[in-house]
Amino acid sequence: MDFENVKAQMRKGVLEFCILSILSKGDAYATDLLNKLKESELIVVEGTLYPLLTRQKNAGLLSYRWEESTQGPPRKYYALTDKGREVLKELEASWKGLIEAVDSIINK
Amino acid sequence: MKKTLQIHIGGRHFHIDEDGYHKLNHYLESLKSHFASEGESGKEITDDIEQRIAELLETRITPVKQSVSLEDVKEIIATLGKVEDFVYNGQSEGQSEDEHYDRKDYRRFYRDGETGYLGGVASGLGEYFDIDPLWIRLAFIALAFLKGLGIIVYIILWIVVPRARSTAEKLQMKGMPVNLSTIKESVNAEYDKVKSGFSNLRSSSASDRTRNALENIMRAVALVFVAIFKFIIGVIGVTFLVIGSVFLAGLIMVLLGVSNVFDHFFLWNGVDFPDISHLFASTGHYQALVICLIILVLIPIVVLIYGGIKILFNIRTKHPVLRAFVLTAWILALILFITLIFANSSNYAVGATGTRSSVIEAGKYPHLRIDVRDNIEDKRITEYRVFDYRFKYSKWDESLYDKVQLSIEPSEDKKMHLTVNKQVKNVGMKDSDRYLDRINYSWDQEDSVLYLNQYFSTDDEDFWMFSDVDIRLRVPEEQVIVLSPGTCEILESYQQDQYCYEKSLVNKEVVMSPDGKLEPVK
Repeated sequence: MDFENVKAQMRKGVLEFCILSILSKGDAYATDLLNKLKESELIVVEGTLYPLLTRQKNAGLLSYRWEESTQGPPRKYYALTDKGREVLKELEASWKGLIEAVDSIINK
Repeated sequence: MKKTLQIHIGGRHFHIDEDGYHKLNHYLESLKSHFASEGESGKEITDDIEQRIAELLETRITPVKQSVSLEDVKEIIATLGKVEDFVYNGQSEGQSEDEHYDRKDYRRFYRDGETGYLGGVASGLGEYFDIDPLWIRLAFIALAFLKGLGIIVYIILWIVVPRARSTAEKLQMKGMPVNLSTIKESVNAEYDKVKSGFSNLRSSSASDRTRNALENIMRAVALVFVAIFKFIIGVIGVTFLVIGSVFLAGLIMVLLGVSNVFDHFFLWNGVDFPDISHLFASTGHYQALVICLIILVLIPIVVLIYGGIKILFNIRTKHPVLRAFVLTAWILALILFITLIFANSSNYAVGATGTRSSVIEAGKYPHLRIDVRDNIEDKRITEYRVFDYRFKYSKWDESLYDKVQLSIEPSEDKKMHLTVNKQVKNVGMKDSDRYLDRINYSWDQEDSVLYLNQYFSTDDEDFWMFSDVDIRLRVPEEQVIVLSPGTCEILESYQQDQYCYEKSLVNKEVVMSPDGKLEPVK
């Protein structure tokens, strides 16, 4: 079995969840997200983020707006949509459920 | 000293070392060619990444260090991750799907602009068939001697076949699967090539510069040729369109019966166009033949019009399935058409002959006069031509008239015989008797005069029988006959020469000599 793939799948799922979660606390642009995700070592290479953002935006979970920046060109700020909020709620619920389930198995 | 380039990325300008530039460009190209398959979203992703790269580049610029170095680029790439790293992390789901697609051999025919001499057609074909393009070039040159066929084919391919531009297309051209590792390899190879190209440039000498100037001139000449070429193409497109439209209009008019185009070819006013369905074994065959004929004509017309539109408006769409379908339909129609023609031609390629002989009693007269009646004198006759056949048509009795042919021969016995030989072509065997009866020919004898009609007739509907009547008069030796001037009208050409012009035996008493020729009575 390809364990690398299993790990990648897990990380990807968690990453999507975390992006929504970070954005629920306030709008952010890609670099903010990257800094947070890198702090918690959820992301290894930055490039990973961009396809995910675009996909979530296409799925209607995120929206973005351009905002002038004090340094350099305008930045793309991402925000959660209502749909994004709902999905996040569901993900949170299933995440908690998963952790309990996994804990109960591992700690038996 | 180091050469630097200025780049514009993510809305900002940077000075970058040449080697750094190539590394960065190569990285961006690999991203673009990967995300190209996702269309708009792909563009968005690469734009976002460019934005990020610009941000990261900015952090590397200090008042002391104004330009981006190769090292900076390498570090940035490490931060962002190689295509395969982050795509694997982020998109393993989608990617497994991609790989499934890519595993198929996606070899496609593109023009190879890199190794080609002219338009890259030959080298593209070489890649496609996996053979040395030299052979294809030789083949084109050889074909060029066949009335320029090779040149025409080359030009058409040049126009029709797209040039491989993106990395993915170049890989498809070579029949390599389009996936990350092949893209990477290809991009690396390109990078090396560009790099070596640059190092060549750096050592550019005077001779190199003249070469460059020469190249520029060549390019200008080529541009002029391209302009002329495009103009010619435009003209061809218009011509296609016009010819196709005219033919289409003609075909529709014929089908609707608005105008019978055949009128103009056959000059057949007054006579109904013959119903050629007679010629076919069954009406089913005839209808099938007509349908085949329409398909055979209609498809090229439509293709002409469509091709003209495509050329004029520079439409490059391809419908391989449709094309295959149309081609198949046309070939099937052609096969069916030929089959029907052959199946039926055995019916009407056969002719029929009917002979009737009569004995002429002439012994009691000193001589027999042979006179010819102009039996169409009193009829109003119009002459028509169908291909090489001439027809005399009388509106009054709705009949076609044609001359008979007379030959005068020695008789094998002591009697005089008149043989009327009717022939029809293009009639089925089983019906031959019936058709022979439709040829009308008459003659009669009044005492010492034998009256022969100059023309035989058939009903105008029977024009397609291509009927013919030969008359043989067999004269015994010692029998004296007299040829009237009218006889010369119907004598077969050899005897006409002999008896009417050379010896002038008309209105004289003549006799059949032992060697089978008419001679004056001594």
